[in-house]
Amino acid sequence: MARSLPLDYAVRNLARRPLRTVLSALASALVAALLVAASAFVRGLDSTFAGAARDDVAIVLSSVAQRDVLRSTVSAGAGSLIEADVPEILRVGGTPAVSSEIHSGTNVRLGPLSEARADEVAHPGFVRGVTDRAFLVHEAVTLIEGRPGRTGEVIVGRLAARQMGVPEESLAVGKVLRFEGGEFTIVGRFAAPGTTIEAEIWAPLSELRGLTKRDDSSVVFVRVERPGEFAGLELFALRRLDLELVVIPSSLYYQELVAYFRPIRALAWIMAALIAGAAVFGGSNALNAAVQDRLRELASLCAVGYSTWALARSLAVEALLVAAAGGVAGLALAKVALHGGSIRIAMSAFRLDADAHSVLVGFGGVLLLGLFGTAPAVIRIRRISIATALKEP
Amino acid sequence: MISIALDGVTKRYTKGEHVLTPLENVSLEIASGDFFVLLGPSGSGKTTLLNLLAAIDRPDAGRVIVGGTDLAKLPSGRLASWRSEHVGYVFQQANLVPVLTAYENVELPLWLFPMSRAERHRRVSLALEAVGLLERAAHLPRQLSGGQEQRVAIARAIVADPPLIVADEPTGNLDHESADGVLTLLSRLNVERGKTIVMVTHDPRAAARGTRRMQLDKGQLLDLQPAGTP
Amino acid sequence: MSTRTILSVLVLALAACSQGSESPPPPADPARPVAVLPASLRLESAPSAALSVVEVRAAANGTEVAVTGRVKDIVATRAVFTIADLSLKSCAEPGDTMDCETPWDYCCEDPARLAAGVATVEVRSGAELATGTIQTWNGLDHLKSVVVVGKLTKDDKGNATIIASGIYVQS
Repeated sequence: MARSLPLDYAVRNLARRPLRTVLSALASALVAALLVAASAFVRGLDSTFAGAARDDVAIVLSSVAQRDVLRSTVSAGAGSLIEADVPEILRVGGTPAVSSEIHSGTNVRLGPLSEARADEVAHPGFVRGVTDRAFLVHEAVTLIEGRPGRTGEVIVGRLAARQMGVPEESLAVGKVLRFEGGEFTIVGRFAAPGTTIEAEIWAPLSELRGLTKRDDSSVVFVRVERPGEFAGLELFALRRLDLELVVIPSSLYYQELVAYFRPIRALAWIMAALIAGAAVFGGSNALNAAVQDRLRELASLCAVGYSTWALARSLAVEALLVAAAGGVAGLALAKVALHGGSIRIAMSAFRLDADAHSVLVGFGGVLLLGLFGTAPAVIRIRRISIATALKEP
Repeated sequence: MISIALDGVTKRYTKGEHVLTPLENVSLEIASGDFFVLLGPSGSGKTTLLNLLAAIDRPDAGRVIVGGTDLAKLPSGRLASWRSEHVGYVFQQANLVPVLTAYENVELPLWLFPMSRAERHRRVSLALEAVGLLERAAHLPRQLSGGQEQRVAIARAIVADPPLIVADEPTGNLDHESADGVLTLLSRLNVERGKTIVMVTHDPRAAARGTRRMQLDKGQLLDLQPAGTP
Repeated sequence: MSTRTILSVLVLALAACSQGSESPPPPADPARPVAVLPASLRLESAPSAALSVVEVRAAANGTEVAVTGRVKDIVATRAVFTIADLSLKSCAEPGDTMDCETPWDYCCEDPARLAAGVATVEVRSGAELATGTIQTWNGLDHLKSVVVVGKLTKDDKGNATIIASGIYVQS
């Protein structure tokens, strides 16, 4: 017979030391919220780069730039040469899917120059100089408002405001931005779900070249007809050594980016684990103290006929109730804190989303930790000498 | 109905470097339906003996046979359920669970049995009625007097109808009036319900209620004149 | 222990033992088929008086040359690779403190020196480039020293390509 103590016993025990219970629940809430945040962060980070990677798109950049698109300079004519020499390039309605682009981290100011104030703040932004061909190679990009930009116009990603740390409305269609000495009206907004592109501002390539006094590009994006068919592109790069080009499949490029951010990802989990560890330690101590407080009572329950396992189960139920209550509070906290939030990282940003997976990690994690925290108290209960414990004051 | 036999029982404790032997080669027989009273000075081993009878502790040597079961041979995992079926324990302090009402405290042993809620209610009501506290069923232990708490503890001990009730100084913390009430209750359980009762006490007035008395001193038992014998 | 576990342990043990002896050539990657090249391409000994890559880049277009260098980049699906002048320092040179995963890209070298010291080697099958990678052919791999014999072709940008008729891979 291994009957359990009534649930009421576990529930009412929680009210014995209200402060202890509340503190334990708060710790659980914090851990649940942190686990959700860490999970959302890691998933956001991973899916952002995974979303941008395409197995039919390669990035051609300068071989001396060490794969840094901001440092890369590719001759302005490289795109045309690639079009002419590489037969595998995808053509959409006769237009080759080859996009020469400038990638630039720059300071962006809000509003037209005529309204500029002396104390205005410059916001770090990521500007990509593009032609209409960019839409052929970046399929994830969809205009959600307005139209593509012409001279003196830009379109902005829906996470650009967040990345720049400015209010959403300041990057609305019709607003004016200034960067690199030029003034641009926002004529469209775009989405590119699960990619870093969503945090960018797209300006006309030729205009950006003029403003930045560059006669080159940063990179050339090339889309081929069949996934992985980059041999022609590689051959081009090796035959035209004077251009100093390197070809990287975009899937590999973004894999490397993910690997680059791996320490940050690990740090997020380590932080969550440290807090969780501290919470488990605290909760474990609280439970141990509860066992110590109730030693004689527990022994008398054993004398009545309850096994030490039944007592341990009741204690685990107490811990789980606190963890679950804290967990629910933590999930609510995470939902509120992360709602619509996004993370700025390097020159990009991605959305934080407390999705089902993150909620499961947060709530499941906190329940598991709650159970784990009962271990020392359970061991202690299992070792109770009833005869000795009955003599406790 | 349950009979008890102790055969050459020895129990030792180690306290630091010292080995204490509260019971040494003790043999004893208690007949079914006895109200057995064990007297003796503090530290003489009375509670130790009681714990052995209630399967709370195990002897280092000898046999403890209760209702035909050799408790020393009972596997550890079976001891708790054996206790729930055979023994009702009344402690010197009531040891009620402070967060549960009198009713719920009495109900505790019944959760160990497959039993309907209605049957539990019937039994708890009967037990509380037997100790005269049915009207206090909804009270928490802190809302009861010491004597009432101890009577609730007795109700808890009898609610599952165990054949053996062991009581360790059940009146030790009570005033005269409350103590009389508790002792009367135990006597009635012995007489009216045929419970075998083993009670440890150092109070001669309490001891007088027993049908058989023994003295435990320096690990040895000494038979005393039965109560009421000239 | 299940049969599967025992087999796994045996396979791991065999793998561990084999590392002590001479390693067999790495198996071909099915995603990167190795080019099937004529036996005549393989040179049993290094031709004497081979030029450096820098010297070859200065030679006249259309001449037969023998050039020595180290393998830099290798194309995955065509028998094409680049060779770097022996005077250039790869990132795998002793004393290089950078933990570079692709030392054959010579990223630690001065870009101007690198531009002047690299040539392309192509292996043709008839008029077309031979398909399949040349990596692992006759032990050829990144940073291996090779001597290539073939016809030099140069474009107006100064890019030098050797259409290989023979390749010696130094072991």
